Amino acid sequence: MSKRKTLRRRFWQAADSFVETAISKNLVLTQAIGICPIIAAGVSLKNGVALTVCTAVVLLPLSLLMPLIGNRLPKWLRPVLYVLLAALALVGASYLLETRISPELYAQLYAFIPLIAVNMLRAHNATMGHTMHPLETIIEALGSTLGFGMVICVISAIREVTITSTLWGIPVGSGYTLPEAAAPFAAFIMLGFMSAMLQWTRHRIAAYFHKKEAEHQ
Amino acid sequence: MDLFPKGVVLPFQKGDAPRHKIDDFKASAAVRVPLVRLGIDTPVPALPFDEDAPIALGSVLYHEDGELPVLAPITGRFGGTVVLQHPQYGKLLCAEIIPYDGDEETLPVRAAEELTTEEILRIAQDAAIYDELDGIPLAEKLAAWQLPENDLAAPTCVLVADATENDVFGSAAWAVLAEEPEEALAGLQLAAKALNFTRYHIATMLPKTQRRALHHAIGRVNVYTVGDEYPVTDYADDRDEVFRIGIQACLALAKAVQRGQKSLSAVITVAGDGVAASRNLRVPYGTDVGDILQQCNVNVAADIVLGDAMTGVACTDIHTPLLPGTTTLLVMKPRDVRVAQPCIGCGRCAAVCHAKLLPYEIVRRAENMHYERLRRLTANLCDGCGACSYVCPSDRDVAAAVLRAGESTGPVFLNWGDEDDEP
Amino acid sequence: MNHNLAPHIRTEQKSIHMTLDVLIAAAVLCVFSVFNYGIRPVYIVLLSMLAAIVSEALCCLIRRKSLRAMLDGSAAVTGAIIGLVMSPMVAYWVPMVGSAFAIIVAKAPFGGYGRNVFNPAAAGIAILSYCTPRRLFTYPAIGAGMQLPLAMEIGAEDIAIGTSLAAQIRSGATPTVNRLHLLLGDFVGPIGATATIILLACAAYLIIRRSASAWTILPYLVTCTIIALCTPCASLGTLHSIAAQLCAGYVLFTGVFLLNDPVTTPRFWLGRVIYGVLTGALVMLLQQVGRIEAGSCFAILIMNTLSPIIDRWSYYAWRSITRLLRIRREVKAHE
Repeated sequence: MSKRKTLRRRFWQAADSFVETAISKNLVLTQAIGICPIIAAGVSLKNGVALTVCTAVVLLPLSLLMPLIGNRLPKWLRPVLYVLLAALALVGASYLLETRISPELYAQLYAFIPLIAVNMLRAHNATMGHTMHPLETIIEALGSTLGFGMVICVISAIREVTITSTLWGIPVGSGYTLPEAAAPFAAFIMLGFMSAMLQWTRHRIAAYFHKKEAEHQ
Repeated sequence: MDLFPKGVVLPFQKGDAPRHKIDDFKASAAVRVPLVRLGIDTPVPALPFDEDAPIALGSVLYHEDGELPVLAPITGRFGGTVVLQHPQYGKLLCAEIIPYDGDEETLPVRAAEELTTEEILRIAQDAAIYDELDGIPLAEKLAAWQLPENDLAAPTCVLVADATENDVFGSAAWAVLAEEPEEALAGLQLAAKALNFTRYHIATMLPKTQRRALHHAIGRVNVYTVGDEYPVTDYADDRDEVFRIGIQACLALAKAVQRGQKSLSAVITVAGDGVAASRNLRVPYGTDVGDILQQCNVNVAADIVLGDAMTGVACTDIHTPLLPGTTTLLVMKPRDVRVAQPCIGCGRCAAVCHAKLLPYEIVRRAENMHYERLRRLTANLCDGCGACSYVCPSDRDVAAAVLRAGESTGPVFLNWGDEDDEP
Repeated sequence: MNHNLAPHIRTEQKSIHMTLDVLIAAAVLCVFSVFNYGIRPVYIVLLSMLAAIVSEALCCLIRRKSLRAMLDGSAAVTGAIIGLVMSPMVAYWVPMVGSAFAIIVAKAPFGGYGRNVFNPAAAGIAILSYCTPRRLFTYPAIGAGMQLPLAMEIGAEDIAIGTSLAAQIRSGATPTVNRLHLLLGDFVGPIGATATIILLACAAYLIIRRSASAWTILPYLVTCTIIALCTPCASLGTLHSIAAQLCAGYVLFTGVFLLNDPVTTPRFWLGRVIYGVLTGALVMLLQQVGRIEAGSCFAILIMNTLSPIIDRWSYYAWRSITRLLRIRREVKAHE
């Protein structure tokens, strides 16, 4: 096999894994991982984006680091190290958030940032057992971050519009507000519908390909 | 221990049939007697008859070792052999007998008192008596249940002659019991003697006036009245072990011993909303269903069911011979098809199940292919009485699904799907 | 339903009869409320039913099912129940929103009638009582032959406002309703949830018609009575106190209408008993504590999540108990 062909195959493999973790096997919508920050803190788009950035700050360096040093450690030590490193990364992230970006935002979110570290532990549990290339893990981490970010941004944007009739602080819509959308059940219902939509789409696509295959034969 | 009586009370539509005499049926078309059930490579037996050879009533047509002899149910001429598909028994090789007047073959008459248990079984075998409850040879059933003499278990074992007929239309057993109660009791006593049982009774649910006449005829002790619920679970007192044979089999045994008559016919009820009035007929085995319907003036466009409303088998071919094990021929007007709705969880199927199963849960597990959970629900205990399907308010075929689940507790369950959406 | 399969006859009682029975019971309550408040409650219930049926039709269209599926009457029942627990002076759109929510969010996404996990009516009431508690729990004072205006919204300044029985009990005050009025439903409260004697008659009717199971209703009422006995109202007789607590809020109404949705309750009789007892305890608890005046719909929603487990476990428990008893009996007989 030529080098170019191998490269092309690698690229498609990476793209496949990225799309899979971001959309079709979205952690939030298929495994309900990380729904706590979404439900409690995802009430405005700013919060959503901030939480996504925090997730990226934790996930990306760790996914690079863990394959490199994780394999040399005993299995039971890996989650411990992971949580410690995640906490370390989050300390940096929250410091940045408080001093450079917005102290108010930090005041709103400080309870939920540590949750991300623990939530992402489950996300990476599967890959911690066996050896993986750092490139593969970083692609997966990117996908997970994107998936989490999309869900939280959609939900928090909808909730912000419903609660305060603003988006990113800019007034939009009719001005009619429904403050009850800040309650957890609203986020639960939205998550349920999004999850159902994802499932439905997956079924439709699978049925489509099944049909194509049947026609082909 | 039951807080609720299990079972369901069915609407009885027996009409006047149990009060009338049983009519004798004279076959006008060819009678087809099954010789063997054809498997994949069953050898086809050769018959010692020529074409048009005269056949006497009760003569042995074919006898395979270990099986019951196949007897000629009518007098006539031999009309060759034919292979046909029966809804209950599958592919059968049958001998055709064209009705014709002639002689009758009988067994030697014996005094009932001097018979040993083996001789009673022998007579049941030679007279080709089938149990009409399930179509199994009577001798086979009795031989399986036989107790040694002076057995300790004998006081708790009860031999029950089943004359309940608590299905919707059937009344053959009632008519038999009303016509010849003494003979039926004598047959039951013979069978109990063959089994070394000390206790026996006739279980029935006759209406009050007929029951009084029955008490008068054979004594109150020998009659046990069962409850109204379908299916019957109280054939005897709570702690007794019940062994059930049909009342017509008892009668046939008595006749074989006392008069030497072979068992050649069954009493069947022709009923259903497709006939004007239900009636009981004594029909030779192997009679064509179409012949019976023709003589009862029935419109052939109706739905024909072999057996009664709750457990009968739909019969699509009208030229099917009537075989032992059937006591009701149901003629139903063509019905409109109702689409099954989703299960709404009323729980009635569980309330009526006499086997104490959860039919809704079994069906749900089977539909979702949770076979490992299915095993705990013991679907194999279902006997297919059909009470759950009868009460289902959503028109679902619960009983059929439970039976299927009971038969297949593995991934052989292929017809999975969401059937209740659109027709 | 396959005609070639046994049995060849079926019972005449179909699921539509069950929903029709519930609708008949709801209609009786509606007629009662006409005497108290004029024609407005009937409009509220009818509009609520209409919203539910239209939402059901919409969901049928989206799921590409035939519209025949909505004729089973379950949507109308959901709408009627939501309409019956409204305040007589509620704005017309409130129950309509509740019904639409019940059908579109709590019922259709799960697969429609027969597959829903939560009682749709309870979900609709819960969302309304969470989002618009002031509209829901502001009741007009009751007076014989009163005619409420038919306007879209009735302001608190237009008519006399009464304090509901549930609010009186929650605040710890002595209920001011005497026993006869409790029985006759002559006190401040929702459209259909105050008519004690009619509700009891409805319960009897549904049980006799086998559209509701006595195995849930009776344990529920017994539990509620026992809890009411243990937490008496100040300076009231025992019987009066129990009656006041059972009539307050949606307690009795829950027992007759919400508890008996066959889809979301256990199906085995022992499971139904346990379900009734637990729901009764939870309803009485939420009646006393919690932010919302009528917590029974939340109790129903919580119990709905448990009902499949209750059902299965009670069946397995019952089967093992009977098996043990049988073995013991056989051992005894053997000795």
